[in-house]
Amino acid sequence: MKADSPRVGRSSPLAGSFPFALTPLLGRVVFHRRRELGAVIAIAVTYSVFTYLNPAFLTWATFGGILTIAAEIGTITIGEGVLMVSGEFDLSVGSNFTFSAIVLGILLKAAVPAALSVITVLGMAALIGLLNGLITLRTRIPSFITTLGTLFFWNGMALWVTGGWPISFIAPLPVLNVLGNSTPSPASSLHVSAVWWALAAVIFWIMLEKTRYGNWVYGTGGKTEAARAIGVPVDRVKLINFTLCGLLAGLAGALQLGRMMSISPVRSGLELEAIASAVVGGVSLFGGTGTVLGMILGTIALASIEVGLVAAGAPSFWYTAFVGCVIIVIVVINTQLDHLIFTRRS
Amino acid sequence: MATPLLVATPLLEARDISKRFGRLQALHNVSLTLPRGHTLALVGDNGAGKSTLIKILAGVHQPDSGEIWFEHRRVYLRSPTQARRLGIETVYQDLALVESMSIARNFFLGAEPARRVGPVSVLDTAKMHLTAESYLREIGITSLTTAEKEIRLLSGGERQAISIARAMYFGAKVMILDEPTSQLSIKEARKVLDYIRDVTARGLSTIFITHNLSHVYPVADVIVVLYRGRKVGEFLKGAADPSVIESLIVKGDAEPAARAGGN
Repeated sequence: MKADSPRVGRSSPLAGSFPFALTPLLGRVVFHRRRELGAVIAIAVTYSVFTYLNPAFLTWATFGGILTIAAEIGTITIGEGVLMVSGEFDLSVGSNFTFSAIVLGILLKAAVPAALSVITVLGMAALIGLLNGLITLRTRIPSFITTLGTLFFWNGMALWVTGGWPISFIAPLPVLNVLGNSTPSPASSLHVSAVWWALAAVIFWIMLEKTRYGNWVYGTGGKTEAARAIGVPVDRVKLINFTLCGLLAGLAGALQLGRMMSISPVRSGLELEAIASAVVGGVSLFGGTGTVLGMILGTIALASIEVGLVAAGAPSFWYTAFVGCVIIVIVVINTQLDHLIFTRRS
Repeated sequence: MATPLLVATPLLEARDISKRFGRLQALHNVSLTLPRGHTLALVGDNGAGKSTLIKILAGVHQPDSGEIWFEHRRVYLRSPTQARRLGIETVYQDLALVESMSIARNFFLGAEPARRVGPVSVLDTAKMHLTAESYLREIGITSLTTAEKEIRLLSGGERQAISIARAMYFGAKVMILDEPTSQLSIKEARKVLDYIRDVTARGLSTIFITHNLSHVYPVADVIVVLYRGRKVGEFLKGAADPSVIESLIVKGDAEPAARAGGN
């Protein structure tokens, strides 16, 4: 390539240099989308195995069921994943999720107008996230610890306000239908909550990939001090991401209350599922890398394993054990792919 | 010692800068003058105060006492952003670039071009790529043709070149380089020194810190030696005797007869 050639277009960095006979398109996919590849492989393998075990797995109805489960975890995963890209964690999302759903249930039972209830709860969830951020950034204690504290705190609050009892609705309110209970078509198992998840995904995809703020998020997580030195307001970026993470956890709680018309104050453990989904989708535990597409694929991968095991008649504890194995395998695949490309290119 | 060597059009001046961190007196009445279009090398051993001084000039730290003058005006550099707005761009040794991001995303980090699409302001990625690529060609990097590559896939010299190209693009008048050659191979260090000479030829003024005296002589017009927070020597190009400078770096002192050669 001559230095003074007029060629300034975005050429495929792999063209002609990768030892395998890959087409440029495939090369681009492997090179730029390698972090999402682990989740794609997981989905492909899951679908192959479970369809082999039970051909009914490969139906739209099953896929609708998978998306319905994925919608709630996936909404948390987007907030958690974007926060992880900026180099922080929030372990309190599961507690925030439960507490927000409970407060929404209490408000609706007290006949507070639906729109006001939802806005109040989302605002409260965002404040819970903001509080995590303020504690973490003021004390300079790792967010892993501060949000471990708030995990227990909000879980305790949820148990306190409910006395340990679940909050249930017998008849579906219109607002619950809008949030998650209604289905697009009578035959489908897909709930409307998946639409809210998709909407959140589009908004956060634009934010992360297409805006200046997204570039700051990657810089903040990739190398905080470098980003700070160049003038990125890294603390503000983290604070905003903590707030958004809380907001999405609260939204997920509202979606589940809508879909199930019931919420239990018992600890959900969703924070670890959300982190697992993000990691399977290629989000780095150390910050700086990760995409919304990966977070979606990671969530679908884990949800399809869950649905597949249930469809295959396996006891539910298998899911937990299986997810553990999947996380390790995917992270190994991602690391190896990264290593392969890194060594080939340098 | 505080007498400036080159009185001709000083662009950036530090006058009697002192800075204390707790019990450590990091800088003690240090003055330096950077003439327009010239290169100043700041040398000294570890802990001599070089990094503190450039961080003050970059707006990262504020001096306890002393004045900074830029383009004949007294300035107060309260943040890196403020320094950059004046035209003082700093390229840190390890802090310049984010490895996990592409060249284009790094090039514009903190100052991304955006365009309006409906209600949202979106990154102008086409402009980011075209600009970064054209500046890389201009600075003479032939090994990079796409700004899409992640920084961690690049060599140390390529990374320095990107930082320098970025400073040029953002209209830097003064470029401060913190140990630009310290982690490079001999061949790459030579290239980076060429880039420094190129940008100085275009009218930029540069200050660079180094441990390696052999990297000082080819490009520096002025050499300032720091020792334990004090300025112990200031030499014009050609007037500097390497053995004197070395002795100043190590002991903070040299034979009086030899030192006179500097002035």
